[in-house]
Amino acid sequence: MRLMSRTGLAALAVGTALLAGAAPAFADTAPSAVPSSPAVTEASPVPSATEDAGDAGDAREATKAPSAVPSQVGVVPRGAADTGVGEDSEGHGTLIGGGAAAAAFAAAGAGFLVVRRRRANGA
Amino acid sequence: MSPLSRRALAAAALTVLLTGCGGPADRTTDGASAAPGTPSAPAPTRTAQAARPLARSVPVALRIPAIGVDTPLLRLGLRADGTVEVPPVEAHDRAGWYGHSPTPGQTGPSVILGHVTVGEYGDGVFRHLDRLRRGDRIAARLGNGTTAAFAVTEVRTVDKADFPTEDVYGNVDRPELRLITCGGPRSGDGYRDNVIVFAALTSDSTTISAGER
Repeated sequence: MRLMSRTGLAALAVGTALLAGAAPAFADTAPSAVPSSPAVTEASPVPSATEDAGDAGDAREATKAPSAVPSQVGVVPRGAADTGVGEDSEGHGTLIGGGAAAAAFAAAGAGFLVVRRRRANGA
Repeated sequence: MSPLSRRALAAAALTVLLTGCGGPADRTTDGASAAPGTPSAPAPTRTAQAARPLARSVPVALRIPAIGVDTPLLRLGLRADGTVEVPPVEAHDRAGWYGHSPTPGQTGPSVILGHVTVGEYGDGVFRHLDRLRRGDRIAARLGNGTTAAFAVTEVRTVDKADFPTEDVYGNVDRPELRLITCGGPRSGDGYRDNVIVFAALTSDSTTISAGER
């Protein structure tokens, strides 16, 4: 009887030990599966963003994105600044056009005078 | 039979030990995976040169002795198309401060724009901006009576098609100034390039004298 109870106790102990051994085996897989998948999902977007950043524009985006610091410039304008007005087409155009017309008129007038003098001399 | 129970007890103790080791190992993994997500310096790694930022105050005038600029400042905003507003052509003698940027002397890039030429009106206020050299002084007088003094750090001429938005408007770790105008070849309706002057606040703000370069 004593022998039986000892055997029973021993079997119980072994069973418990086996169960306890199996539990960590599950525990090992379960926690490692859970953290490892977020670790993969967390890690992959960041390196892939940097790896995908082939051109300069994307690289700028990549360096800007993680900093999550508010922009010191409230609204960033688009593109370049148009801070140079070229030659004023109206003003200069008028001047150039006016000057050409005046020169043409003067040349026509001079030609008329020459023809008239020649005719006068010939007559 | 007692040896058996001892073995069983030993096995149970070993499993408990193994289970106990598993947890912390996973937490370390978590910690390690969290670490790469957090770095990233917020701003370029230029180290500030002991010029203390000034209180916010809207700029009212700009002086650049090296190129003879002494102008009141307008306040500029955005155009409907999202580009930056520039001073009106009639106000060719004035520059303008971009109102969405920090005021001169605050930490960040304060942006001031002016024309290089204004068609029939002739030269703009920033006609000779490209003549500035590293170390030239710029003084922005603020509405609160103080003066923010800057020293030129770089002058850049860039194609408008490749405007360096991040370099001009991006965050910096000290008070800086950007002066912007046009430059390069001129066609009938404008210029190909932008001239951008980069400057940093100097420690002698509010003390710049009238004749100082």
